[in-house]
Amino acid sequence: MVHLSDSKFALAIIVPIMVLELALTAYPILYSLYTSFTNMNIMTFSSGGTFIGLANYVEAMNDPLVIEAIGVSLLFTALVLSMSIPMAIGLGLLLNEDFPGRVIVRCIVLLPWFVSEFISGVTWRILTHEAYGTFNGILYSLRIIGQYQAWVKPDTALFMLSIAYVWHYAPFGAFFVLAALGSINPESYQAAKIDGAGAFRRFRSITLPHIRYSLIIVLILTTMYALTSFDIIYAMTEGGPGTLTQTLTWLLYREHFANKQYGYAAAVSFVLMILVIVIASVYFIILRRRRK
Amino acid sequence: MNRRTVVLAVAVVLTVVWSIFPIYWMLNISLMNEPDVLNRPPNWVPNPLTFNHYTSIIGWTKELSRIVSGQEQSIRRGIVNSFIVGTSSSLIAMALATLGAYAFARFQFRFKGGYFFMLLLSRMLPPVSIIVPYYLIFSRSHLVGTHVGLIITYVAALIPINIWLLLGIFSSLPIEVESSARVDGCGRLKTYSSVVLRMASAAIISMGLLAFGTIWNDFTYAQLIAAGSPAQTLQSSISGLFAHYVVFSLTGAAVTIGMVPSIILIIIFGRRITQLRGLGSMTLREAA
Repeated sequence: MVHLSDSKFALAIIVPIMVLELALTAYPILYSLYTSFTNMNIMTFSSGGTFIGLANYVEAMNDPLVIEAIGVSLLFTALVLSMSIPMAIGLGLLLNEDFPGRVIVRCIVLLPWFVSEFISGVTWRILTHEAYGTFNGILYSLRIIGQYQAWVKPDTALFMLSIAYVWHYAPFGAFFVLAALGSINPESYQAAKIDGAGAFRRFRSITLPHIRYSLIIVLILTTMYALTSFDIIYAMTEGGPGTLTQTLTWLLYREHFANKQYGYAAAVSFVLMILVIVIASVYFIILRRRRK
Repeated sequence: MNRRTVVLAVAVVLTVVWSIFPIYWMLNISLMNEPDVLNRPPNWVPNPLTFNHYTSIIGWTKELSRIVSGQEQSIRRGIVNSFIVGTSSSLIAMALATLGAYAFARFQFRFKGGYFFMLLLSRMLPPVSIIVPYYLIFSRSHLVGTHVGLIITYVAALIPINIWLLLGIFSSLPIEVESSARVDGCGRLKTYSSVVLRMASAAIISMGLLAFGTIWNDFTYAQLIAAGSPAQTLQSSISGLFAHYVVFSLTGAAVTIGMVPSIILIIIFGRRITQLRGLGSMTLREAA
């Protein structure tokens, strides 16, 4: 066997791995950036398309569909956050209590997070189906509704979509909160109780400071995931009805795979990336300010 | 029973129902004949009970005749493909990641920090932003719709996070055992395979199983690289069921099969995952 020095041995392992990683991340990004400056589509794919500068970006910024999609993405993210963060806290607090069968309940609560986002979407699509859906069935059996009705309709579609996403994703937040709650010394609650602090006061001055750091991580990750989520839309609404649940991710998917406008789709994907970076920066700036 | 106990019990029951009911319902309709799924009001338990959908997916019984044919076959192929792709990608990824983590943990070389930073940074991007170019690049190199295309994608997606997690584990292993193995004349690769891998085997197997689950659950990459091809995975073949007339009971069966690895993983890791903090970063989507 050839004798390599320690550092050469390590590099012989690391360099091929780096090549693989960069070939599948840096190269695609640069290729996509190049594509976004061309008019590449299904017709011009083999020749590579012609360079058209920022035209795709200018078009995207003037495209009412793109503007609408940015709004839908932001609204979806806001809906998801407004439900999943309180739910994560609630579930975390509940699972932190001591009761018989706690381990099994914890596993059951985490299960939706382990189920794939796409399968979660399919499940909720069937549950909310207008003709045969389970919700219709339950409410009908309980005589709350007189007849079957559509749940995913123009004014509720995005809301139903976010409920399905929260079902899949809130356990992730609960898991983080639970981990943080585990680090609280139970004696501090006892002490606060003796000092006469009520339940709400104890939550605010003991629990919240302990889980704040975890909550911020959950907030940031949930925002990123909701903004870039795609599977659940594919599974549940396919952007519909009309374009009411067409997020930026769904729009760029449509432009790429249905309209075959590769250059334009690439430009939209960078618009999305910029949106994600801007929102992430806003979070970090707020965090910085808070710390000072 | 005081008030607190009652409130707690109600909250636990509601939480459990919320979490498990959608999953139960998929199992429920998968065990019904299609006309029974459409009953108003619905049946809470399958009556009569049938395993037809499962047996015809496996291929033991004949495919049920429907408007759209070949759905069972497509699901079956999806399951097989998910197994092929999931097993090979997680094995290759874990082999490379353990080697990589060993190199990072035990040896000094130039630009070590830079390599490591680049490795982690490469996976900070949202998947949708690299998926557009993937399709174009893969179709130029004829990897669209192939197992190899999927495996390359998943291996590359899984390596960084696993190197990162393994690095922590390898660094905590006692170095004396390795040193004495080296003194006894073991080469570096021999030390790696017979000492390091053996000492960390439990963690490596756990991470390999989670990696398999991640790939099994992936939809975005699978759909964009291999949808409609002979290599399409289970998640893609489920999406194909919605292309025409939806057969709820069969879809329920496919979805239930798709959930089985998730349920197995939660049974294996559920107890531990609620105690471990480090694994929080190992979310299923983050790794993909």
